[in-house]
Amino acid sequence: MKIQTRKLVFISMLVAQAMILSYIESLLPAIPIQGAKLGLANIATLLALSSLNFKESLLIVVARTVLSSFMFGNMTVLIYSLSGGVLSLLAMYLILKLPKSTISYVGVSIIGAIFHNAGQLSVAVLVLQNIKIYLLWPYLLLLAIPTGLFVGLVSNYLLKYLRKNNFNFKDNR
Amino acid sequence: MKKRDIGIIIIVLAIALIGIYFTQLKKQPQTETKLVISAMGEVYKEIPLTKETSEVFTVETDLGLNKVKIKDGIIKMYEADCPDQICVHNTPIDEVGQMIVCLPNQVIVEVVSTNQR
Repeated sequence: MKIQTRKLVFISMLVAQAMILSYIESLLPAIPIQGAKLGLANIATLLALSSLNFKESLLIVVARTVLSSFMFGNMTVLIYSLSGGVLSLLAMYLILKLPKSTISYVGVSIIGAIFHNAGQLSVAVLVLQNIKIYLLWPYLLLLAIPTGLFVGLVSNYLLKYLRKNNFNFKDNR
Repeated sequence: MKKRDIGIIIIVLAIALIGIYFTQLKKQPQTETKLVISAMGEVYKEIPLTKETSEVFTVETDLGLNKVKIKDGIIKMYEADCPDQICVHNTPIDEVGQMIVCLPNQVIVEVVSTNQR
Protein backbone atom coordinates (compact mmCIF):
# COMPACT_ATOMS: atom_id res chain seq x y z
CA MET A 1 0.00 0.00 0.00
CA LYS A 2 2.71 2.39 0.98
CA ILE A 3 4.70 1.53 -2.12
CA GLN A 4 1.64 2.08 -4.30
CA THR A 5 1.18 5.59 -2.94
CA ARG A 6 4.85 6.39 -3.37
CA LYS A 7 4.65 5.18 -6.94
CA LEU A 8 1.56 7.24 -7.71
CA VAL A 9 3.26 10.34 -6.38
CA PHE A 10 6.37 9.54 -8.41
CA ILE A 11 4.32 9.12 -11.62
CA SER A 12 2.45 12.40 -11.12
CA MET A 13 5.70 14.14 -10.35
CA LEU A 14 7.28 12.88 -13.56
CA VAL A 15 4.30 14.06 -15.62
CA ALA A 16 4.50 17.50 -14.01
CA GLN A 17 8.27 17.68 -14.49
CA ALA A 18 8.02 16.66 -18.13
CA MET A 19 5.45 19.38 -18.75
CA ILE A 20 7.52 22.04 -17.04
CA LEU A 21 10.62 20.93 -18.95
CA SER A 22 8.85 21.23 -22.29
CA TYR A 23 7.56 24.64 -21.22
CA ILE A 24 11.08 25.79 -20.29
CA GLU A 25 12.26 24.47 -23.62
CA SER A 26 9.69 26.55 -25.48
CA LEU A 27 11.22 29.65 -23.84
CA LEU A 28 14.70 28.85 -25.19
CA PRO A 29 15.62 30.24 -28.61
CA ALA A 30 14.43 27.91 -31.37
CA ILE A 31 16.90 25.82 -33.36
CA PRO A 32 16.56 26.98 -36.99
CA ILE A 33 16.13 23.47 -38.39
CA GLN A 34 12.68 22.19 -39.08
CA GLY A 35 11.37 20.04 -36.24
CA ALA A 36 14.56 20.15 -34.20
CA LYS A 37 14.44 20.58 -30.46
CA LEU A 38 16.45 19.80 -27.37
CA GLY A 39 13.99 17.26 -25.97
CA LEU A 40 14.33 18.08 -22.28
CA ALA A 41 11.08 16.26 -21.54
CA ASN A 42 12.88 13.09 -22.54
CA ILE A 43 14.75 13.27 -19.21
CA ALA A 44 11.46 12.48 -17.47
CA THR A 45 10.73 9.65 -19.89
CA LEU A 46 14.16 8.12 -19.29
CA LEU A 47 13.62 8.40 -15.56
CA ALA A 48 10.28 6.67 -15.95
CA LEU A 49 11.72 3.84 -18.04
CA SER A 50 14.48 3.24 -15.55
CA SER A 51 12.30 3.23 -12.44
CA LEU A 52 8.88 2.04 -13.61
CA ASN A 53 7.52 -0.57 -15.98
CA PHE A 54 6.55 -0.03 -19.60
CA LYS A 55 2.84 0.53 -19.02
CA GLU A 56 3.44 3.21 -16.42
CA SER A 57 6.02 4.91 -18.65
CA LEU A 58 3.53 4.92 -21.53
CA LEU A 59 0.98 6.49 -19.22
CA ILE A 60 3.44 9.26 -18.37
CA VAL A 61 4.28 9.97 -22.01
CA VAL A 62 0.62 10.07 -23.12
CA ALA A 63 -0.44 12.17 -20.13
CA ARG A 64 2.29 14.74 -20.62
CA THR A 65 1.79 15.13 -24.39
CA VAL A 66 -1.98 15.51 -24.04
CA LEU A 67 -1.72 17.92 -21.09
CA SER A 68 1.08 19.94 -22.71
CA SER A 69 -0.90 20.37 -25.92
CA PHE A 70 -3.89 21.49 -23.87
CA MET A 71 -1.95 24.06 -21.90
CA PHE A 72 0.87 25.42 -24.05
CA GLY A 73 0.11 24.23 -27.54
CA ASN A 74 -2.74 23.43 -29.72
CA MET A 75 -4.62 20.24 -30.43
CA THR A 76 -3.55 20.08 -34.08
CA VAL A 77 0.03 19.38 -33.07
CA LEU A 78 -1.00 16.71 -30.57
CA ILE A 79 -0.88 13.93 -33.17
CA TYR A 80 2.74 14.82 -33.97
CA SER A 81 3.98 14.89 -30.41
CA LEU A 82 2.01 11.77 -29.52
CA SER A 83 3.34 9.70 -32.43
CA GLY A 84 6.89 10.85 -31.77
CA GLY A 85 6.64 10.32 -28.03
CA VAL A 86 5.17 6.82 -28.18
CA LEU A 87 7.52 5.60 -30.90
CA SER A 88 10.58 6.92 -29.08
CA LEU A 89 9.39 5.34 -25.83
CA LEU A 90 9.03 1.98 -27.57
CA ALA A 91 12.51 2.24 -29.09
CA MET A 92 14.11 3.25 -25.80
CA TYR A 93 12.29 0.47 -23.94
CA LEU A 94 13.65 -2.12 -26.36
CA ILE A 95 17.20 -0.76 -26.31
CA LEU A 96 17.19 -0.76 -22.50
CA LYS A 97 16.82 -4.55 -22.65
CA LEU A 98 20.49 -4.67 -23.64
CA PRO A 99 22.85 -5.42 -20.76
CA LYS A 100 23.32 -2.30 -18.61
CA SER A 101 27.08 -2.63 -18.66
CA THR A 102 27.33 -1.93 -22.39
CA ILE A 103 25.04 1.07 -22.82
CA SER A 104 24.31 4.20 -20.83
CA TYR A 105 21.45 6.69 -21.08
CA VAL A 106 23.43 8.64 -23.67
CA GLY A 107 22.94 5.93 -26.29
CA VAL A 108 19.37 5.32 -25.20
CA SER A 109 18.47 8.98 -25.46
CA ILE A 110 20.04 9.32 -28.92
CA ILE A 111 17.99 6.33 -30.10
CA GLY A 112 14.92 7.92 -28.53
CA ALA A 113 15.56 11.22 -30.31
CA ILE A 114 15.94 9.47 -33.67
CA PHE A 115 12.69 7.56 -33.31
CA HIS A 116 10.91 10.67 -32.08
CA ASN A 117 11.91 12.36 -35.34
CA ALA A 118 10.97 9.28 -37.36
CA GLY A 119 7.49 9.18 -35.83
CA GLN A 120 6.85 12.87 -36.36
CA LEU A 121 8.17 12.90 -39.92
CA SER A 122 6.10 9.85 -40.85
CA VAL A 123 2.93 11.46 -39.56
CA ALA A 124 3.86 14.67 -41.38
CA VAL A 125 4.35 12.71 -44.61
CA LEU A 126 0.92 11.13 -44.17
CA VAL A 127 -0.88 14.35 -43.25
CA LEU A 128 0.80 16.61 -45.79
CA GLN A 129 0.92 13.96 -48.54
CA ASN A 130 4.49 14.84 -49.42
CA ILE A 131 7.19 12.16 -49.27
CA LYS A 132 9.95 14.75 -49.65
CA ILE A 133 9.60 15.63 -45.98
CA TYR A 134 11.84 12.62 -45.27
CA LEU A 135 14.70 14.66 -46.78
CA LEU A 136 14.83 16.55 -43.49
CA TRP A 137 15.70 13.37 -41.61
CA PRO A 138 19.51 13.30 -42.13
CA TYR A 139 19.78 16.79 -40.63
CA LEU A 140 17.67 15.78 -37.66
CA LEU A 141 19.81 12.64 -37.23
CA LEU A 142 22.92 14.79 -37.08
CA LEU A 143 21.30 17.03 -34.48
CA ALA A 144 20.10 14.06 -32.44
CA ILE A 145 23.72 13.41 -31.43
CA PRO A 146 24.40 16.62 -29.42
CA THR A 147 20.86 16.84 -28.02
CA GLY A 148 20.81 13.16 -27.12
CA LEU A 149 24.24 13.48 -25.56
CA PHE A 150 23.07 16.37 -23.38
CA VAL A 151 19.84 14.68 -22.28
CA GLY A 152 21.63 11.36 -21.75
CA LEU A 153 24.40 12.85 -19.61
CA VAL A 154 21.87 14.72 -17.46
CA SER A 155 19.93 11.48 -16.98
CA ASN A 156 23.08 9.54 -16.14
CA TYR A 157 23.94 11.92 -13.31
CA LEU A 158 20.36 12.30 -12.14
CA LEU A 159 19.81 8.55 -11.92
CA LYS A 160 23.01 7.99 -10.02
CA TYR A 161 21.69 10.41 -7.41
CA LEU A 162 18.19 8.93 -7.36
CA ARG A 163 19.52 5.39 -6.95
CA LYS A 164 21.38 6.51 -3.85
CA ASN A 165 18.05 7.64 -2.45
CA ASN A 166 16.27 4.39 -3.29
CA PHE A 167 14.10 5.69 -6.05
CA ASN A 168 13.40 2.44 -7.79
CA PHE A 169 10.00 0.90 -8.18
CA LYS A 170 11.06 -1.91 -10.43
CA ASP A 171 12.40 -4.29 -7.80
CA ASN A 172 10.03 -3.76 -4.92
CA ARG A 173 6.82 -4.06 -6.87
CA MET B 1 29.41 6.84 -21.57
CA LYS B 2 29.86 3.19 -22.40
CA LYS B 3 31.11 1.23 -25.38
CA ARG B 4 27.77 0.93 -27.17
CA ASP B 5 27.06 4.66 -26.70
CA ILE B 6 30.09 5.51 -28.77
CA GLY B 7 29.10 2.86 -31.30
CA ILE B 8 25.64 4.40 -31.62
CA ILE B 9 27.08 7.89 -32.03
CA ILE B 10 29.44 6.75 -34.79
CA ILE B 11 26.72 4.82 -36.66
CA VAL B 12 24.22 7.69 -36.44
CA LEU B 13 26.86 10.18 -37.53
CA ALA B 14 27.76 8.01 -40.53
CA ILE B 15 24.12 7.55 -41.61
CA ALA B 16 23.43 11.27 -41.20
CA LEU B 17 26.46 12.31 -43.23
CA ILE B 18 25.70 9.80 -45.99
CA GLY B 19 22.10 11.04 -46.05
CA ILE B 20 23.13 14.68 -46.23
CA TYR B 21 25.68 13.84 -48.94
CA PHE B 22 22.98 12.24 -51.08
CA THR B 23 20.44 15.04 -50.59
CA GLN B 24 23.15 17.51 -51.61
CA LEU B 25 24.18 15.30 -54.56
CA LYS B 26 20.68 15.38 -56.04
CA LYS B 27 21.03 19.10 -56.51
CA GLN B 28 21.76 20.03 -60.11
CA PRO B 29 24.00 23.04 -60.45
CA GLN B 30 22.08 26.21 -61.31
CA THR B 31 19.04 24.94 -63.13
CA GLU B 32 15.83 26.84 -63.46
CA THR B 33 14.03 26.72 -60.17
CA LYS B 34 10.59 27.50 -58.97
CA LEU B 35 8.93 27.84 -55.62
CA VAL B 36 6.04 25.48 -54.97
CA ILE B 37 3.67 26.27 -52.14
CA SER B 38 1.33 23.48 -51.12
CA ALA B 39 -1.41 23.78 -48.56
CA MET B 40 -3.46 20.91 -47.17
CA GLY B 41 -1.95 18.44 -49.64
CA GLU B 42 -2.67 20.48 -52.77
CA VAL B 43 -0.52 22.86 -54.78
CA TYR B 44 -1.51 26.35 -53.77
CA LYS B 45 0.80 28.45 -55.87
CA GLU B 46 3.91 28.18 -58.07
CA ILE B 47 6.37 30.99 -58.60
CA PRO B 48 9.37 30.89 -60.97
CA LEU B 49 12.50 31.76 -59.02
CA THR B 50 15.42 33.87 -60.13
CA LYS B 51 18.01 35.85 -58.26
CA GLU B 52 15.84 38.94 -58.72
CA THR B 53 12.49 37.51 -57.61
CA SER B 54 10.97 39.67 -54.91
CA GLU B 55 7.46 39.03 -53.78
CA VAL B 56 5.37 39.04 -50.63
CA PHE B 57 2.24 36.95 -50.40
CA THR B 58 -0.10 35.29 -47.96
CA VAL B 59 -1.15 31.65 -47.93
CA GLU B 60 -4.64 31.54 -46.55
CA THR B 61 -6.44 28.28 -45.81
CA ASP B 62 -9.12 27.10 -43.43
CA LEU B 63 -6.35 26.16 -41.01
CA GLY B 64 -4.62 29.51 -40.82
CA LEU B 65 -2.44 32.20 -42.32
CA ASN B 66 1.18 32.03 -43.45
CA LYS B 67 3.01 35.01 -44.86
CA VAL B 68 5.95 34.34 -47.17
CA LYS B 69 8.49 36.87 -48.34
CA ILE B 70 10.82 36.40 -51.30
CA LYS B 71 13.67 38.83 -51.56
CA ASP B 72 16.37 38.46 -54.23
CA GLY B 73 15.45 34.78 -54.65
CA ILE B 74 15.69 33.98 -50.95
CA ILE B 75 12.52 32.72 -49.32
CA LYS B 76 11.50 33.35 -45.74
CA MET B 77 8.31 32.58 -43.87
CA TYR B 78 8.06 35.74 -41.83
CA GLU B 79 4.71 35.37 -40.16
CA ALA B 80 2.28 32.61 -39.28
CA ASP B 81 -0.59 32.22 -36.89
CA CYS B 82 0.39 28.67 -35.90
CA PRO B 83 1.02 27.94 -32.20
CA ASP B 84 4.57 26.59 -32.41
CA GLN B 85 6.11 29.16 -34.82
CA ILE B 86 8.66 26.59 -35.98
CA CYS B 87 8.21 27.66 -39.60
CA VAL B 88 8.94 31.29 -38.71
CA HIS B 89 12.17 30.36 -36.92
CA ASN B 90 13.38 28.31 -39.87
CA THR B 91 16.38 29.65 -41.76
CA PRO B 92 15.66 31.31 -45.13
CA ILE B 93 15.87 28.92 -48.09
CA ASP B 94 17.05 29.37 -51.68
CA GLU B 95 18.39 26.02 -52.95
CA VAL B 96 16.68 23.12 -54.70
CA GLY B 97 15.44 20.55 -52.19
CA GLN B 98 15.15 22.95 -49.28
CA MET B 99 11.77 23.48 -47.71
CA ILE B 100 9.91 25.24 -44.96
CA VAL B 101 7.11 23.24 -43.39
CA CYS B 102 4.34 24.54 -41.17
CA LEU B 103 2.80 21.44 -39.64
CA PRO B 104 -0.22 22.95 -37.85
CA ASN B 105 -1.35 24.87 -40.94
CA GLN B 106 -0.29 22.06 -43.30
CA VAL B 107 1.70 24.42 -45.50
CA ILE B 108 4.87 23.39 -47.36
CA VAL B 109 7.06 25.87 -49.18
CA GLU B 110 9.74 24.14 -51.25
CA VAL B 111 12.24 25.02 -53.94
CA VAL B 112 12.14 22.58 -56.87
CA SER B 113 13.96 22.38 -60.16
CA THR B 114 11.83 23.19 -63.20
CA ASN B 115 13.59 20.44 -65.17
CA GLN B 116 12.00 17.75 -63.05
CA ARG B 117 8.51 16.86 -64.26
